[in-house]
Amino acid sequence: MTDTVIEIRNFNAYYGEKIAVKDANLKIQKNKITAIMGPSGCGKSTLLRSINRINDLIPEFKVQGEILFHDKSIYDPDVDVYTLRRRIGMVFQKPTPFPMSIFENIAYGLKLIGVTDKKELKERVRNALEMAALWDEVKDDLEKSALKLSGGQQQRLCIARTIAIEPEVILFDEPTSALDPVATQKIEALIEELAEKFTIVIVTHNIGQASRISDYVVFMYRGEIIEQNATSKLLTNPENEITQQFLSGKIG
Amino acid sequence: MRKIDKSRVAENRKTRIALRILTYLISSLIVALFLLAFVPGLKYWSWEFFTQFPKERMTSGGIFPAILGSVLLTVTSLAIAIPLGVLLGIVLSEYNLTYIKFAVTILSGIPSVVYGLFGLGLFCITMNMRTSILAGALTLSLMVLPVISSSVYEVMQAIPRELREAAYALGARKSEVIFEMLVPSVRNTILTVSFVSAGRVIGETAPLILTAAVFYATELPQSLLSPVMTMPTHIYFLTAAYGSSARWMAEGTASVLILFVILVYTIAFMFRREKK
Amino acid sequence: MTDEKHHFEKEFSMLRAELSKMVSLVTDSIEMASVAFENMDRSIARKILELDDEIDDLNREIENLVIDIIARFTPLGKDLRYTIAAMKLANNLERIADHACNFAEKTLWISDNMPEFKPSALVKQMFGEVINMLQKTVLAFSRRDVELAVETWRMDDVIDELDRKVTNDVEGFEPHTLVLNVLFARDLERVADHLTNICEEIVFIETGKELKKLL
Repeated sequence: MTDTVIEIRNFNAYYGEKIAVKDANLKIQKNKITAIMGPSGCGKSTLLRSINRINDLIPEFKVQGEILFHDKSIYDPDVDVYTLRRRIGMVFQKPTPFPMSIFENIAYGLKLIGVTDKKELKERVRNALEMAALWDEVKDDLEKSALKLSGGQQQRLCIARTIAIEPEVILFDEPTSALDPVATQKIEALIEELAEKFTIVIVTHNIGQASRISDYVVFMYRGEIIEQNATSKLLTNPENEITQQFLSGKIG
Repeated sequence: MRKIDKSRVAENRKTRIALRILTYLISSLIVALFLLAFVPGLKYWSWEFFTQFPKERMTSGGIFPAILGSVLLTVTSLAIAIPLGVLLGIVLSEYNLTYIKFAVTILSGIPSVVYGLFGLGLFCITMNMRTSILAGALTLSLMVLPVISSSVYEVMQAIPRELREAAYALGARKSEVIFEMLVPSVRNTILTVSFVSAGRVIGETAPLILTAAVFYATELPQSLLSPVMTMPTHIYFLTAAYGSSARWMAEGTASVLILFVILVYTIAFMFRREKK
Repeated sequence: MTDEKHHFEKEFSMLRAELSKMVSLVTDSIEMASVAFENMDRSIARKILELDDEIDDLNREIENLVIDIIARFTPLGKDLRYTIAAMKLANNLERIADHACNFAEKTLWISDNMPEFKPSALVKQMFGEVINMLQKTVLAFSRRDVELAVETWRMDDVIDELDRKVTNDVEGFEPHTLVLNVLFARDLERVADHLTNICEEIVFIETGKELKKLL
């Protein structure tokens, strides 16, 4: 039996007066890859970014309804949002290496959680890079500036940085949109491997990507969740007409 | 096969030649000015010149106290201005304070002699510091603060929003995002602007005449509240008070001053190069 | 919105057009086979055999088109079902056409070697029912009419019943002519089977479910 790690209940999100997510209901299962797909502007990124409360940084952002992480609402006043973000990590669309060395990039998060022992830092940096399939390519030059890596490598670095602090859930916001097909394929393979250890939620506008790697897929359109199901079911036999139109390429 | 437009190629060549000539012209001008100021004083350089006090009514001896004074003043002003300026730049960048931003912009336009007057009134008289290094340093640091702050502000603003988000996404607090990610990544800019400010401060004359410099110091400065001699003010005093008899010393001092300025700017330039 | 062409609309239109063409040719073949059977008409029988090549070509073209669409466009949902069903439809139609050829060949042989042959009235009736079923199937396909497809599917029972009767309709037949009638009946029953397959495909395209489960 699968267990629910995150539950989204009657969730609404606003930027000022404008509603971005309408009445979303969704359960994220442990160690599965859940894809949220839909045309541009359908609210999928907003929904994703609400899960780790990174939208709190946006001044006019407001929410209604609940998001539960292990049955506890993440908007509860006694929730430490910084701890929340360590347990729910995020990888963004544009690779965002810090302007530091490769080692320092990954050590940044580790230092935030209080790891000071040099030996432990080295070990955990190495583990993270190995898990992100980047170790072999950079092991000889960890002091090199992270900005000198290729786009695909930078994105894997960001993934390594996120997994170094051992979150439970990793949120991916269109992680391969800015990458070439070869780099995309490597990252997709990596994400599939990561699902063994982490729970993954990935936002994508690319149906092919959702179909290739996800176990469950959620289709959003104009702020609403139109349909959600096991991926192969939704792709071969969608129940909603709008879903079918999206699959046919008629919308978005 | 695209036809090569001969008339445009010719025009291109003409433009390039013209630009090249212009570049050489201007560079030669700069080099000439530099040589005119720097070279005449070189012949007065000697061990005594660098280590002794001026003697016999500025007809012999050296400018050691002026060199020391310039260095002390520069170091002290920067010790005040850099931390404050960097902090100000950071705060303006990461928090929304429009009025203060506006005030800082205005400050950077005020002429140096006005700063001198302000320093005289506030530090020397009201706060009773008299003519001292401290008064001079405070005045100069006020002058240079907007420059440092603006540089830091600009470079912090240039950091893309996504990098901040990525840091927050790792669970960082605002202070951790600023001081452990943003500031280290602008380290080189901070160093560059510090040295550029040093170059500026070393050459300041008017504010120091009003707040810190004397035209002859009998002894080396005992504390921050002592007055000093500085190289640019020394050049002024030599010329104003002594005229042609001290001209040799003025030229010598000018060369030393230019040497310092070149050194400082070279270091600043080196940091600029290393910027990632 | 309805005028927007999505990227494989052109290929889909081609697929629909080819299928329609194949459907109409196969309908012609069966109808001609019925007439040839009744009148032992040799010239019609030969026309049926000539038509078969064209039908085979269409089948192959449709298959290639389907493979092309899947490889290039990865159709999903209903588009996917339609694409795959199109291929199965074409195969079924091709087999129906093969049966029509069988009828044609038998007709030619009988008219050469068995002038005393009497076409059974029941077989004539079966031809009628099969053609009726065929026409209804074609209608259900073009209209995407699930109810009609289910209704037509049931017509198979009637044809099965007739097939059984032909075997027992011994009166007035010599054994060797009876046998041939029985063979015609059997083949007609198989044509009906193919038609039920087509009806099942129609239901699957529209609903994604098996026809038998809807009953």
